[in-house]
Amino acid sequence: MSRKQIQQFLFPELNRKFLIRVLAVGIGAFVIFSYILIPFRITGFSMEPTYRDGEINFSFALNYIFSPPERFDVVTIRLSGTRVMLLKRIVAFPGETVAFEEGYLMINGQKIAEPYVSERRPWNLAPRTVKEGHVYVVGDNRNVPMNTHDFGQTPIHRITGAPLW
Amino acid sequence: MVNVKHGIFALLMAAGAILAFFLFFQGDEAKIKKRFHALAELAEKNGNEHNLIAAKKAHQIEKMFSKTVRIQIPSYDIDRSFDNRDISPHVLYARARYQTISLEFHDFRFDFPEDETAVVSLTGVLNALTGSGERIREFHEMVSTLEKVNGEWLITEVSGVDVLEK
Repeated sequence: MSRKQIQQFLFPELNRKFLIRVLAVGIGAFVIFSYILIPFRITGFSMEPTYRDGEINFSFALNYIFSPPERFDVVTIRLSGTRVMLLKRIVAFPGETVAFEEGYLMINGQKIAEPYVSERRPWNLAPRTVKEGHVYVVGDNRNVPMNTHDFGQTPIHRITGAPLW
Repeated sequence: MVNVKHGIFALLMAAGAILAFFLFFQGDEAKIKKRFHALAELAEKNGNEHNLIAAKKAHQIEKMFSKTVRIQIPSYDIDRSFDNRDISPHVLYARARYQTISLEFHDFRFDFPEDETAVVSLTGVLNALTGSGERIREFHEMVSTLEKVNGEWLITEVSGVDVLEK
């Protein structure tokens, strides 16, 4: 690479072509990172050990365009917008009953194997039915008192996407 | 080259005009956002605070609410109406429990069902350190109703939204 080329790369001439390129990159990045790959940083321990406090990830908003969410998918759930979201795992769908017995997840009365849970406290929650248009979500970290862990049913339309990795 | 210079100049002028518009001709949405950010600033606390400063902040917070305020937070079993004069003591008591407080509001969504009424959905994020050293991080979706009184937007109602229902 010649000196002139390096100079041109580092200090490009402010011509029309360059300005259009900068504008296109700016608009493209804005659209992608605002609506398609929404960056987020995990704060808290509710999804440990799968996702750890402080990790960076992206919520892929197009994940459920062609197929609906499936059981055990990890999803991002919006509050009033996408600046603050919840990261949870879907465990049940409309019409199913959810309960916890001594820390074990029960769906329709059946104990469910959850390989992503490493340690658990003896959570006990009476059976409840998931409402139409809702999904039941829980975090992977069950090694905390049940009343300090945010989980429950939420409208499907609140799902904004799935973490990219 | 002359054209490019003119283009850049025109762009800068347009950016300046847009900035001036937002600075000097704020719409109601911007005014309401500003009100919530001011509320967050007043709620903030960094270590020990003189009683007089705490009282002044509580009084300023009180002035942001209408004469009667309804607070509904289902997850905490709260549903009651306050006279705005009762807000100050509550704010003083709540802030005194924490060493540090940081409050932020994000993701505003506005609806204006009537001329002088606004319904705002927003997310509140509270980071605090209690007197005993326990770190608290809470976030809630809220719906707040505001009324315009003498050109000022006053909060008349705050309701918590249960995003997850156990």
